[in-house]
Amino acid sequence: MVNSHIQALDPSTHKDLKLNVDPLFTYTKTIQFTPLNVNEFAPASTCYPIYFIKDRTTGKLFSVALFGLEEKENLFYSDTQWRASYVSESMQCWPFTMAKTPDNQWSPHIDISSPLLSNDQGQPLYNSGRPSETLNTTLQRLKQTYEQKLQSMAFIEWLLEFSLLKPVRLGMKYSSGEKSIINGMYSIDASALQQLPPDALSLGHQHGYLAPTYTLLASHYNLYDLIRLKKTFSKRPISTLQLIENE
Amino acid sequence: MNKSVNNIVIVGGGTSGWISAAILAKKFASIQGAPKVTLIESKNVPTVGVGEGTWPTMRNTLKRIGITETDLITQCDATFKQASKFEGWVTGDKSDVYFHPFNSTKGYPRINLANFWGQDSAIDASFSRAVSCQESLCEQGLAPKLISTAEYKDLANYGYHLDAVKFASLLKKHCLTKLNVKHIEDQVVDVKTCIAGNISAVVTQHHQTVQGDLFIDCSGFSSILLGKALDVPFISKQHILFNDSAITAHVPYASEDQSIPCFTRSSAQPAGWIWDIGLPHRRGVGYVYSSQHCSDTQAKKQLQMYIGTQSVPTEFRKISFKAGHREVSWKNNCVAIGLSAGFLEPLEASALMFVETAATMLADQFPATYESMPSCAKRFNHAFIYRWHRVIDFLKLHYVLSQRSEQYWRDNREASSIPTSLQALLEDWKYMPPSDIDFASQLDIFRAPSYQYVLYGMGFKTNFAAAKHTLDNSELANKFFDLRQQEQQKLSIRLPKHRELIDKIHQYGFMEI
Repeated sequence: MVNSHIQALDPSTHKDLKLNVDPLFTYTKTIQFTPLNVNEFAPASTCYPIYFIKDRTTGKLFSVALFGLEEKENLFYSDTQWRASYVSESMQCWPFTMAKTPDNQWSPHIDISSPLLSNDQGQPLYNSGRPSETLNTTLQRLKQTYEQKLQSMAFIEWLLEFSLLKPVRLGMKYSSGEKSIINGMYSIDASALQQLPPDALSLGHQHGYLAPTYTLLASHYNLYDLIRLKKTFSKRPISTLQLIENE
Repeated sequence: MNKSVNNIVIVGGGTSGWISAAILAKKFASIQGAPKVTLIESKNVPTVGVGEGTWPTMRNTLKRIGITETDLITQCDATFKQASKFEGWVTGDKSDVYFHPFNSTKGYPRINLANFWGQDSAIDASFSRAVSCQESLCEQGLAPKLISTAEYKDLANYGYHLDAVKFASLLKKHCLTKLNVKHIEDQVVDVKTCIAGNISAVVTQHHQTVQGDLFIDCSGFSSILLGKALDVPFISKQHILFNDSAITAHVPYASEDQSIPCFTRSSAQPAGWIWDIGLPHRRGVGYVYSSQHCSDTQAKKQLQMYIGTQSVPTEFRKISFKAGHREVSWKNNCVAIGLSAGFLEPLEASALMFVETAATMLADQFPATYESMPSCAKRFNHAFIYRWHRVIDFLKLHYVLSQRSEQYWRDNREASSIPTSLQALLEDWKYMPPSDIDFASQLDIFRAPSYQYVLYGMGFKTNFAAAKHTLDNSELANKFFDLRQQEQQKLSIRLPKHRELIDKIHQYGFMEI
């Protein structure tokens, strides 16, 4: 990992840490996306628009739930409650996450800069050197998330193989009249999907890729909710949001 | 005579041969009953293999034939090229440096910023810095894109530096495995012509007669079909462009992680100039010179002085060539593409671009029958004769604006060596900067921005004060000067170092989208 505050979980280094719970998910306050695995598309699609974005370090695509319409904006965060019913797996696991060790192995990591960790308050991670129930539950969850991550990567590979992805650009007009463009997101190319040959379609069906594909497309109607939230809560309300066709 | 063209035979398997094969085969891949492409290459004939710089056009060419950018970068030791940097071309002083970036001048073709640059002393004195952010990106050692930028897309315009031998083998592999090109490994020893003057077949060393309807001569300088079999005369341009020799070498880096320049360094010498390009694991350098003005021994010494004593160069090679081109590129049923059609010199790396343009034009306007061939040939020849002339003008421009005092440079400024077309343009540009009016043809390959970069980079004086009446849109000009500024700030923060991006491509590759 690039960030030095993300450390591989280690019983000796982290033996005194205690974990607290934050129902507001304050760490996402200035985060525009949360990573989402393909098994989460259905529940997440009830609240968030789902897109793909690229990892800055590797250029690889991964799926996310969109929280805001500009950099560092999270329209679902508030200081009283989270403004949506579904909360992603990765948010529920935080400050734990799966990351790569220097020898390129995926393993549980922890963000030691997180205010949810302390030495005196909360549930201990370890009891006399052995993982606590709290930690075990989280690790179990992380393991499942990681398996889902592999599934999600295979899903994206399938989409790429059949050229079913395309860049998306959204044109936004502020109430002030100012304009801006949201770049860097990717989505399913609905017309390419429509023309998918039968054998590719049947392969996608066998792997269970068709349901999340259509779910993702439908999730984009949640942009209406983001517009509403932005009109209600943002200092820079917008008047319109439009899909810009072609490049 | 209404015979249809079913079999294309390409003779020669260097970069030109394989690019032509790929472009034609790709074009015909999905068409029922389309012509078949056969390429004959000899193991005994070495390729020239120093065409190591490409234009941005290569991105479209590769995309068109279906080679991924990741394969190009990882299999051909390719790096990015954003500009040429000219050192010492005007006076030879240390401070004598200018850039010819691939990015057009900002706002082109909507606005001609040269006018505004020339009249406003508050703007940066360097033309290329004032009108484009690319010089700054190059100086900072930055790549032209991010790992998350889709393949062949850019944030700043670019072509490539690459290993020409590896490039030819990537193209070959692609042609044979993906594009169904038929491959004959044998040497052509005889060319059969029929009464009408068409080539009917070529005969190879191992007694195979290969018949064809259209023959493409990619045999290099020897031009065995167009030049030898069909007697198309060679038009020498050596009285304009003096260089006829090159000594090349590979130079290792001091360390594995040494930064890779994202531009071609081109440094003027007493009797020519030295190119210097950075690949991931080595540099490729070469002194291109005029044998009338410099002996091979002197040239090698000059190149060694340039390399210095810090690194030990390997693989010295000597290449001889004659600046010029065949009277026509297409005669009867034979088209020459690449060195067989002509070559001027490595300056501005136009050789591969000529190959791409020729093969693309041939594919797009392919003659269906023998009947349509003369008309196709006429158009093709018209286009390429025009292009040779314009490229000769542009290359010569680099020499005539020099103030260097060596005999070679003085000879280069002799009026008798300067084409009248270039003399006329230089006269026009005394009063007005180059504009689209000077390059009105679709066929022009170097346009106003390129001429401006060289002219004003070399200190050419246009009487801008007399052209004040052209400044009718200073608001728009200011907008573009501002945009250029913003772009530089934004890109300087976002773009990775050139080597860092190359390493990442080897590790992760680019995405198609």
